[in-house]
Amino acid sequence: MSSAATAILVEDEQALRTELRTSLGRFWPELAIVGEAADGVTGARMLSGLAPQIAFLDVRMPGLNGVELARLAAGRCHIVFLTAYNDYAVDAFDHGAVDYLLKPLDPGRLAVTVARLQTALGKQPADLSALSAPARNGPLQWIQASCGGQLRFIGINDVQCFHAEAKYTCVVTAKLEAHIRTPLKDLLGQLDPARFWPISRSAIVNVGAIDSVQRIDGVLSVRLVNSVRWLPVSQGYQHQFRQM
Amino acid sequence: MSTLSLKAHVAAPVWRHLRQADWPLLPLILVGVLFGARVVGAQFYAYWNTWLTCFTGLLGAYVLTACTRIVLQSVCFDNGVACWCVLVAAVINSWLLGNAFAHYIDYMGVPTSVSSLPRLGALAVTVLLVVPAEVAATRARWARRAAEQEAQRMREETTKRQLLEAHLAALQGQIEPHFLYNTLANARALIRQDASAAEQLLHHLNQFLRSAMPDLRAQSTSLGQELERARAYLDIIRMRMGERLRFDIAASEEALACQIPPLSVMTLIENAIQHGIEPRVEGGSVRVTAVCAAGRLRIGVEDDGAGFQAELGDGVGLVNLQERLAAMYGDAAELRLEPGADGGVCATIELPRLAGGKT
Repeated sequence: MSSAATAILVEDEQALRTELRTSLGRFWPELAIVGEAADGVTGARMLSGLAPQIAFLDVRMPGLNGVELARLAAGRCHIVFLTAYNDYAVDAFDHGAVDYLLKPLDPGRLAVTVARLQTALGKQPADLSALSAPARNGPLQWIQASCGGQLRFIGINDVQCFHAEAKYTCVVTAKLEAHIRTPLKDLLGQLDPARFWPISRSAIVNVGAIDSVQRIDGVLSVRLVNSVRWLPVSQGYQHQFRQM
Repeated sequence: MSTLSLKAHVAAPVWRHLRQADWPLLPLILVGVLFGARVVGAQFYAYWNTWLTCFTGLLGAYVLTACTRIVLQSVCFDNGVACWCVLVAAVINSWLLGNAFAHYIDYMGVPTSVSSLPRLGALAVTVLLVVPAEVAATRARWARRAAEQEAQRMREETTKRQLLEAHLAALQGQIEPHFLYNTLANARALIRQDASAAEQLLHHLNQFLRSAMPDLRAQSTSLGQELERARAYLDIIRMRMGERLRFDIAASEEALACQIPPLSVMTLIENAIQHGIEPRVEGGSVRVTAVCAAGRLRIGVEDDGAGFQAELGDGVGLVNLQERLAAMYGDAAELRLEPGADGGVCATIELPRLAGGKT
């Protein structure tokens, strides 16, 4: 085992950094802590400048977060994530992070981490570049859309329909029409499929906002609550209305 | 008399059926009744047949109108003019038919006592038509009323559920694991490094939890209490983040006494910290203001942090707050998010000003 193992600590809260340094000193006195950073950007500079063998990274940090840093360090150093809550860390662990430490630090747990790191040092560090950023938990909940030069905050339940316009996507509610830059096809993947149905390549409607559906000469169209306009449903999207 | 008791039976539904479009029916009924009263008073038997014809004609006309109206309404529209036309047609029709019938009976030379029988039969048929039509109409009315009540109940249920969800989400957001564990981790680390700072942090945490707990079931809280909680929260964050966070809370005396939905301002402040200040290396400042003007309370939470990063989001905090405001105040309350003057975000809640005791 190399006696000159080097590590950096990247953690935005000073008290926690100090505690980690002190505890590491107790369990692994030979470990040289060559750098400490309070934000992701400084941490990234240290990763390339100091080339440490080990990096302790907080998951939530200003600048770059721990996951982005781990991706930068891909295969060059062993990563231990620090997190207050194990929602994300378990996933990171599956991807090959050596370990994760929950805050508040438990001395017994830190000893286990040190032992794991000491065995891992002889091996090639895992490549975490495939690690994805903490994923969104659920479907889309709100939209920031611009309406007449003003930004409007719109809850997803208020949206009656989305339709594509030249450069933008138009968001229609009972009270207003606003614009967002996200294209319709990107939007569709984030919406709850039980509540938002595409009716053509250029429109998605909120099922709860449909007032009536009609078929004239085989052309299916829907009318939304408080609207006089009939929106045509394209051939490929009509199957959704059959079970209605 | 059977005819009189029958009239009493249908009178109430007829009355209830009267709408603006039916008022022309009244003089017709009046004519029938007056005519009936006259023949009862004078020569009852002589005019019996005529009266019966008139009355049957009126009832028939009414039945036709009622049925047509029910059909017209259930099919598509509520058109009083159409009903009125049908009524007129029915009156003329029954008049002509009654006359033709009477002439035929006279022509046959049937005695009066016998000739009234077919007219009584016609009356019976009319009754058989009136009663089911009335029953159907009443049932339809009841069904409509039940549907309306059900819809109303659903609306109330939804509002209640939203409030409950908002409270739950607010509670979860309040004691967000990241916040709680990070704060405890900090306290623990500080005990060895700086015992007095640790004590200070635990004091703030205690203040925060104490002010957050009792309000969870209340419908409203005073802005003063809410800002106390906000101060404890910001104190904790400042101890953890150090120099990176600056904050300022300014509220007028009258604003402090106003009632607001619990945890509404906290939602905005947490948002400013999480999305505005925390992501920036250099941190930033949060400014909370509250003023009363023109019967309204305006609360602003402005930061100079990272600003609007995303067009789309999955956080439920703000959506819940918006729904809660809508459930409690309808259109009278508003939540606005705008780009701040120094970058960052300026969030504003405007509500009707409700001063006074805790509800």
